[in-house]
Amino acid sequence: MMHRLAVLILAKLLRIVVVMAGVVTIVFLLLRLSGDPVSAVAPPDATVDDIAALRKAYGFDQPLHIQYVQFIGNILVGDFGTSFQYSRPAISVVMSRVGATMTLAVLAMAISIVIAIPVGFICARYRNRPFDHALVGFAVLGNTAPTFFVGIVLILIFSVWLRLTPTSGSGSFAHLILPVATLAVASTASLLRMTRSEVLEVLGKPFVRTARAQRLPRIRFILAYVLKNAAIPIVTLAGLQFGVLLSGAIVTETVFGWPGIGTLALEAISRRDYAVVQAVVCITAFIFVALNAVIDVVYQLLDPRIAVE
Amino acid sequence: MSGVSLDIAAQGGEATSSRRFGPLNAFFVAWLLLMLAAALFGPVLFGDQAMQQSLGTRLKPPGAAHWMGTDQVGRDIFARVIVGARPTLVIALFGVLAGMLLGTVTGTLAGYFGGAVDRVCMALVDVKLAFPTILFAIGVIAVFGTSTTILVIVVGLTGWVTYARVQRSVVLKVNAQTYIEASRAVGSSHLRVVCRHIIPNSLSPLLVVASIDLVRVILLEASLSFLGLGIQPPTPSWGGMINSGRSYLETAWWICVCPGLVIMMTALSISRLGDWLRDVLDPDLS
Amino acid sequence: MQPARTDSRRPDPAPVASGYSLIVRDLHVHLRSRHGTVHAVNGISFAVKPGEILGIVGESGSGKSVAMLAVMGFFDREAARLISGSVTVGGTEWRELAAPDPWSSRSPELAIIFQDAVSSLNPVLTVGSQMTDTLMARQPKSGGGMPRPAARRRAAELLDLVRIPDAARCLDLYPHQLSGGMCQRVMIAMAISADPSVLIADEPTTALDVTVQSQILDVLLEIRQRTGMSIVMISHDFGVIARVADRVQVMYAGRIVERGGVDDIFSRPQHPYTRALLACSPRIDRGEQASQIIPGAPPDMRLAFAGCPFAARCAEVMGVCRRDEPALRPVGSGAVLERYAASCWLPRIADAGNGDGR
Repeated sequence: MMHRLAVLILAKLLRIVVVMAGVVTIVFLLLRLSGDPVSAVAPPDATVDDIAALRKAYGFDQPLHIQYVQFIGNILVGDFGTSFQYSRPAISVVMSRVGATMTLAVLAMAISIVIAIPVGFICARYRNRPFDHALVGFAVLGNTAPTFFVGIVLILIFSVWLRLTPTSGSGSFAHLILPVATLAVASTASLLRMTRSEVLEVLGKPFVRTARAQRLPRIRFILAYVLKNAAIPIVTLAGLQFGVLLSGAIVTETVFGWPGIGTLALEAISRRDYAVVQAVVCITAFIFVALNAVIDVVYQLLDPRIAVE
Repeated sequence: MSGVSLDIAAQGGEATSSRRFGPLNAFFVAWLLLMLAAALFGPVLFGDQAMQQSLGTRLKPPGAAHWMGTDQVGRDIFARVIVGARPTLVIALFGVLAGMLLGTVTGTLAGYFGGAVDRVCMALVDVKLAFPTILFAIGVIAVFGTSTTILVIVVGLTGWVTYARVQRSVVLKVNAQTYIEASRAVGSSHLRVVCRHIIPNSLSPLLVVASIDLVRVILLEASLSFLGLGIQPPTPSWGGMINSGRSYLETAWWICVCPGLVIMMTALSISRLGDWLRDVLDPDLS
Repeated sequence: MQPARTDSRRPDPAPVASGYSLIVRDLHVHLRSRHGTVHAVNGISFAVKPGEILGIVGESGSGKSVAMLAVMGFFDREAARLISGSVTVGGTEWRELAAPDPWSSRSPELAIIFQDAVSSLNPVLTVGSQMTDTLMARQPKSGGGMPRPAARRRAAELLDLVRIPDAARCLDLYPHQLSGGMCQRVMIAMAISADPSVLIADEPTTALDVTVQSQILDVLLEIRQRTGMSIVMISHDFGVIARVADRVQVMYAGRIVERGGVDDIFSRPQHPYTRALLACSPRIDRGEQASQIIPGAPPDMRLAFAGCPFAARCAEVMGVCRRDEPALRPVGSGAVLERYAASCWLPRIADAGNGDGR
């Protein structure tokens, strides 16, 4: 068992390295494609000499492949460049804002799981009854509403009309409610539908009939015989949902003025602070890839039928 | 028949037949036809009305004169929504096609040639999936600009993965059939095998993916326009209208809500019709 | 259909006197499906004595499996448009046959094993977990629950009983790590763990190869010998039936077309369908191969039809066969639910009994 776990983890680590190499390469290429990168990092009032000095300092005067090697080298020690907006290393700017975004994403994910899995199970159990139809209907609406629109409607209802919550900003629990709720809508909807369909699929399997004949206690039946079998695809989807949540967080932060990496990235892109953009993209990608790797390991441990690759 | 009924009975019965077309689906089709008509004829019929500012009729609520009210410079929102259908639908449809093209080519290469080619393609898939979609989109747009072509390409780039996966599994399944070996033994070229055998088998799964993708793309385009990175003013866009209406949420909520409802309605119609299509084509496809 | 009763169970007036471990009366099951309502079971009645093995034979679609699943209580109102009749087990009669509980079965006295044993076990739990779950869940006849270590010991004992080598190791394995034959033994062990009075075996050997088939049948016979448990053996294979059954019941189109002792059925079958089936079945116990198939196909169970369901394929069909459905007429003497009977208009059958009906 331990041996199997060790091999799994090693394989996942290798995967992470390969993928991140690809990510970093693409970021490098995109940046170089945007035109003369120096003019991007130079302040507007730079003189010709300033520009030449900057070019040398950043290594932009070197051939492309040397730049690439330097780039990789820098990243490996966490140097993404210096943000000219904040006059700090880009990585420290990003890390100071990551927490805010993760808070939104993690809370939204937790709420989704807590709501969607039991409700999805109930929908499957009471398939085709009014409850099921109503909830699947809500879930469909939840999936077809753009996240930013959900945010705006929630602001309209709860901040403007009901005056229960602030319209934007951060800093208190009240500020947290709407952004988290907005993010949670889409992922709850997806998880609910997925749970419902996976549970239905499990309920149609032959071993469920055997379990009925075994006359097990209901809770044990539902947990160990139904949900444990449905868990694998659900866990996989939950992992993917986190990536969607990160994406959604970027837009949601804009709607609510939430100081996370979403607003940071948009601001950095419009101001052409490429150091920050690089840092945001790479770190976000890394979080996502690492999370997926963890999910993969958990998933393989859950199902004893999966062999090690 | 006994086996069939046992499985069905074990699942608790098929109380509803989801293959029925139904009045609701007819409504969705009607809506989409309306959107299509708006895309085709909207700019011609409502173009002027959509641009006409009139400070005297600012911020009017929905009523008889203006079905969706007016915005902060007096423009009729209904007209703007109609005119905004074209850019959205153009980007959505061509974006889906772009993604489908890129995805099916990659998937076919991966499944057909296998080995190293397959591994490279799947690694590309993993790399693409590592980027959060919006971040990827805004990154590319920041570099390359916001022309329609770029937007179509970006949208395609964000969605090709599912097509690639589906196509790859179709190719693997078809390749495993013995008649392919026979065909190859007779001397059929790769292209012939692809056209004759692979494409007919992948049409139906790809169509299913496309219907789901189309929903995603419409929502993505709306988000990009909302962020100011999609369709640029003065062309009206649904997402852009919602963005400009944000400051007026308290006084004129309809500026945000009406375009938003139109987006939802369109996405909902495509989603439900896609579900119906899936049930008709193959009820076992999840 | 019986009117719904608030108390759907009442003591059977003559359980002890009749001495049956299972009585099924006038069972009808109509299932909902994507293609319409399937009239899977159309009024069957039968009984099984303690220690007796009743074989139920028929082609697929004959309703034999559906009938026993209905007896177990697996169909709810949503799956079954109609489910009526009564089931008497262990002195209690149930007249409301729709499953009240989606997580349980009708009675702990009824146990069931299925054809595909590997798929019929929970793939994510070990054999030991599943067996201890079963043992700890049942109230053994002596009363009280069972602590886990005791349950594990008992599980190992049961696995020994079904002749699994190295029972202790088997407890820690997952179903996919076992062969079909081993899984079937595990299923049998689980099924008998709470001392049921009736074990329903739905094609338990069909998916297994011949030597393993034989071993599984031996296990079942041995258990019957030891515990006096009744077995309802469903199979389309006459070889299996010939090997284990005491009495046989032939089903077609959701009806019983012939019933009797195993020797009677095999040596002088009355109903044309039984004869045709016997003529074209490979007899593994006799080493024969299949010789022919019965022409035609079973009727479409979604449609109601008049007359005998076998009329379209019967070599001895008569005019009356297409108009009126024959009742189950006794050919021999004895208790109604046990005696030799067949449902056919042929004079040799109709005249032999006194037309008591079902």
